[in-house]
Amino acid sequence: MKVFVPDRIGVQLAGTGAYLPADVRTNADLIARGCPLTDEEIVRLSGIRTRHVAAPHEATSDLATEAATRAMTTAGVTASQIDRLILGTVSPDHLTPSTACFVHARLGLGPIPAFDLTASCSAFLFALENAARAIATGDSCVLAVAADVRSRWLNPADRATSALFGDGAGAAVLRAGPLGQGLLGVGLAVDSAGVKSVYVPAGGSREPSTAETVAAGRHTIVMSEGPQVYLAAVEGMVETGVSLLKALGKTFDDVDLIVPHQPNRRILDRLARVGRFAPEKLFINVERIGNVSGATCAIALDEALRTGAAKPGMRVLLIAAGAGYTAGAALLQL
Amino acid sequence: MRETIRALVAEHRAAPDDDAAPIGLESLELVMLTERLEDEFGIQVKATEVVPKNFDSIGGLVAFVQLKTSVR
Repeated sequence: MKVFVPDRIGVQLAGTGAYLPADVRTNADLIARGCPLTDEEIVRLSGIRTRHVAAPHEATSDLATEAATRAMTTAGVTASQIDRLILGTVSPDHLTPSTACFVHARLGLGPIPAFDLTASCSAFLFALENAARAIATGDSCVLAVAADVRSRWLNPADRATSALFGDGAGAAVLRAGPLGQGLLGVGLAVDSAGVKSVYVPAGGSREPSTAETVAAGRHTIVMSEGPQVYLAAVEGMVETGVSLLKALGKTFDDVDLIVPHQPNRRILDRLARVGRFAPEKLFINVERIGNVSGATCAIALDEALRTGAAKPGMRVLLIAAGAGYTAGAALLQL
Repeated sequence: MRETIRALVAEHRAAPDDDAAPIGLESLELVMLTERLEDEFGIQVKATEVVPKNFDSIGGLVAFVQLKTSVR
């Protein structure tokens, strides 16, 4: 794992924001649309009861813009102060140009770098890491956003995926500041053993879109190795979390709150068991919003801050793992 | 151990009489079986260990759990 520890300029968490679409779908709603599981099965297997789904007119950039605007308001910064926009997503508005360009336009940002990165469910951690490195090399204020509208790539009749995902966006404004506060360290890794663990077969250069690929249903998310993904997600989060904490001379005992990626409730229960920390340390909202892919951690962090679950003085660990496999961890001193 | 594993498999599918016969568990059932094996035998299953050789038959499961419990 590659760890970055700010050692000359601190990286402050100046503000967060999140946006969830208005349409809340229950398990019964999904079943009415073709989900082949019962409500009892969905709850037992995933712990998820509702998730938010983007309206037909809403694209990923719309969700990202709203979350970014809220984060900027919380941080008290204006568009002219943003030096860089980093947007993590696996569900772009279009294959080209980047979704960040659309968000850039909507926010009215200046002539600054704005780009997408793809790291599946670890996207917010990857965005944070890139933002921290940008601040270390001269930026003053960076917007790190993660947004996904996975519902556009779901087969409503697929047992493995149809009930798990929700749509949403989360954002953070990071600013240069004193060391010892804010982001204490961040680590990222990829284990490409999981390169086809969760993927969309067609629509890219490997398998371009044709009438046949559409007819064959090859444009929706495939997760054919669910058990391996389930176990790998926990392994990825525990290993990156432990590695980062070790690099910072700490353990799970030194962490007040853990804000994890939330693929499903079973994974979170296993996470506490394998990581050997008290499950009460986990901030969990998966039952209400499902797996929001790369935005999950950002949305959960924002909710934890707004509800007081995360308070000044606390040490908060973000951990995530996702398709690829990607994994990331970040330690915050609030 | 063999009978315990057969009982755990039977929570999802009728366990075949032939130890080498395919069990035919689907994805979500495999997840639940993995957790039940961990609880029952005090082992921790890794993602790389969920392969057909270990999980496709009663015989494979028995050999896998024997190996895991022998190296604890």
